[in-house]
Amino acid sequence: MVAVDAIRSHLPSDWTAELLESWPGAHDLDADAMVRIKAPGGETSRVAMQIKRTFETRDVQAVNALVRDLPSEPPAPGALMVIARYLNARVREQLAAEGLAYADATGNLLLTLSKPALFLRDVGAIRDPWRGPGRPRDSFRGSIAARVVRGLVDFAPPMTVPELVKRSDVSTGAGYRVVEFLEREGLLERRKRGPITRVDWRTTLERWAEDYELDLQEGPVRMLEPRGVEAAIKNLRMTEPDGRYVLTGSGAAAFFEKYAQTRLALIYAERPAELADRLGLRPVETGANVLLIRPSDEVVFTRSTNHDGLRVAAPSQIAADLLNGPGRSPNEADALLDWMQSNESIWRH
Amino acid sequence: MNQSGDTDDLRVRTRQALLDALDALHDQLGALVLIGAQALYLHTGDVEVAIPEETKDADIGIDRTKLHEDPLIEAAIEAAGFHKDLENPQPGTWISPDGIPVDLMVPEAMAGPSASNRRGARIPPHDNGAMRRATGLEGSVVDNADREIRSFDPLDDRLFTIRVAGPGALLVAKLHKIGERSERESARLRDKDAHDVYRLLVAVDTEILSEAISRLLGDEISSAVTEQALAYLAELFAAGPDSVGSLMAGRAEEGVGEPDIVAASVSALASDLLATLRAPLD
Repeated sequence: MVAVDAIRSHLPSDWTAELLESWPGAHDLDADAMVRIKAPGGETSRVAMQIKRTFETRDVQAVNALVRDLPSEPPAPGALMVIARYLNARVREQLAAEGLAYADATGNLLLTLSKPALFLRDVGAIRDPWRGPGRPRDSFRGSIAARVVRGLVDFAPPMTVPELVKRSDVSTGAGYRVVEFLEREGLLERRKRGPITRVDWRTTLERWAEDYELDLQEGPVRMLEPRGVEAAIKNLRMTEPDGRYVLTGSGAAAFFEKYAQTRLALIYAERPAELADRLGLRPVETGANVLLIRPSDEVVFTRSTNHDGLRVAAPSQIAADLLNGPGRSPNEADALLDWMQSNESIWRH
Repeated sequence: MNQSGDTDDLRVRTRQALLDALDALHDQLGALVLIGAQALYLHTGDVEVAIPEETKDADIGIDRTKLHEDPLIEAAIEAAGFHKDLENPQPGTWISPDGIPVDLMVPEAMAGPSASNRRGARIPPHDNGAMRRATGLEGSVVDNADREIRSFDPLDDRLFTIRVAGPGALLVAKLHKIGERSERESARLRDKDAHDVYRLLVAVDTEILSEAISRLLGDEISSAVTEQALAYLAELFAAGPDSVGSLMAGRAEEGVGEPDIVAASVSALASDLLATLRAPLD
C-alpha cells in the first residue's frame, strides 16, 4: 500500500510500520485500514486511515467530527490519516490545523504522534497531476475562464453557447473551449448542438476559485480605516458616487448573507492609490482592514449591483474572492455559497 | 450589540444604583456630573466593537463650586440605604441597597488641602469620608452637558436631567487612569480601559474631540491634567501600534475581535487628535 510505503520510507531505520489485519473500533472512524507504528523502545501507536478518491476542503469537517465524537472505548488510535491521490494546499493546511494526518500519491505527507513522539512531513506536487494529460491544462485560469465561469454561474440555464459567449464577452472559440472542458469534467450538461441545460454552479465556482489566483497587476494595497470597515464603506458610498470600483469580500457578502461579518473590505479599483487617498485611508504593514486591488480584468465589475449608491460585486465574484481570501474568509465563502444555494431566485439572472 | 444575560442584568442594576444615588442626592443635583463607564457609553453607544459594554458601578463627579452645605452628602446618601463597604471602607465609595458600588469623586484640584495618603476630599462641613479625591477628573466640571438619564428597566419611570461629562473630559480621565497605573503598578493595568480609549476615539469625530480638549487646556482648573493626559496619549498610544496602550486596547479583543486592527486604529486616531490639536499653532 502506497501510504504505508511512504510512512516506512520516512521513518528512522529502527522504526517499523505494519498493516493490521483487523482492529477494534474501525467502524467508529470509518477507517479503511489501520497501521501499527513501533518505536525502537517497543512503544507502539496506531494510525487509522481513510482512503478517498478525491478529498476537498468541504470534507475536512466531516472527518474532524468523526474524531471529535469518538467513544472512549476502544482506545482511539494515535492519529487519523486522510489518504487521496492528490490533496491540494488548502486541504492540507486545514487538515494540519485540525490535527489530522494526511498522505497523497504525489508525496505530500504529514503524520504527528505524541507516543511514541514522531513527526513526519514531506511535500509532493503542488498542482493536481491528474488534471493534466489529455485535458487542456489550466482551463480555469486566466480572464477568459473567469468571464465564462461568471457567465455560467450568474445566468440560469437553459442557455445556448452563443448566448453565453455574448454575455461573457469572449470569443466564440474560447467560449466553446471552456464549455467543453466543463462538460468533460461533468460540471455541465448540454444537448447535442443545443443549449446548456444544467450547470453544477457551486462546484464550478469552487474549482475555478482554486485556480483563480487574485492574479494582480500589482499586489493588494493594504490600508487601514481606523474607525472601522463600516466607516470605510460609508465613505465609499459618500465620496465615490460614480467611482470605478466594486466592493467584494466579507464587507460585500453582508449585503446578501445576513450572518456575514464585515471584517475586511476588499475593493477592486482601477486606481487604488487615488481611491485610498480620497477615502483618507492610511497604509499599514499589519492590521489592515481595507485591501485595494487593481483587477487584471474588468470581469470583476460585471453584474455588480448598486446598494444605495454603493457598488457591490456579484455574489459569484464575492464567493470566489472569499475562497481565496485570508484568515476566516474561506469559511465565510462557504456560508455565502450556502446562502446562494438556498436563494438562487434572488441573485441568479 | 451582543450582550450576555449577566452583562445585561448588571447594566440594568448599575443604572438603578445610579438613579438611586441621584434620588438620594436630589438636593445636590446641580453639583453632580456623571463620569465613568455610564457616561462613556452615552457617547459611544453607536460604535460597533467586538467586546460588549461593561459597567460594574456608577461614578459621579462632584463640582465643589456648586455643592451646598446642606444636605450633608453622607447624611443624604445613608438615608437612602447606601452604606460603606463593611470590610474595606473607602472614602467616597457607597454601596447601594442592591450591592452596587457608587463612587462620589471630587477632582483633585478642588478637593481641599492634600496630604500624602489622604484619599478623602476635604470639603467641610461634609464628612472626610463622603467623597474621594481623584486626579484627572478636573475636565468633567468644564466639558459637560445636560442629558436625561433613564432606567433600563421598563417598569421604572424615573428620569433625571444631570450634567454628563463630555468626550474630552472622559478621554482625559481615562488617560490618567491608564497613565498613572502604567507608571506605578502595571499589574492593575486593565486592557479594557485602553479599549475604552479606542471606543471613544472611534465614536467621536476628531475635530469635536480636539475642540473639547482645547477648551480644557484653556481653563485654569483643567489645563494641567489635560497637558499631562496628552503626554500619556502621545507616549502610550500615538507612538505606534506597538506602544503599551495600543497593545492593551488590541489585547482586549483577543479571541473575539481583531487585536492588530484595534492597535493600529487607536494609535492612528491618537496621532490624528494630537496633530489636529497642534495644527492651529503651526
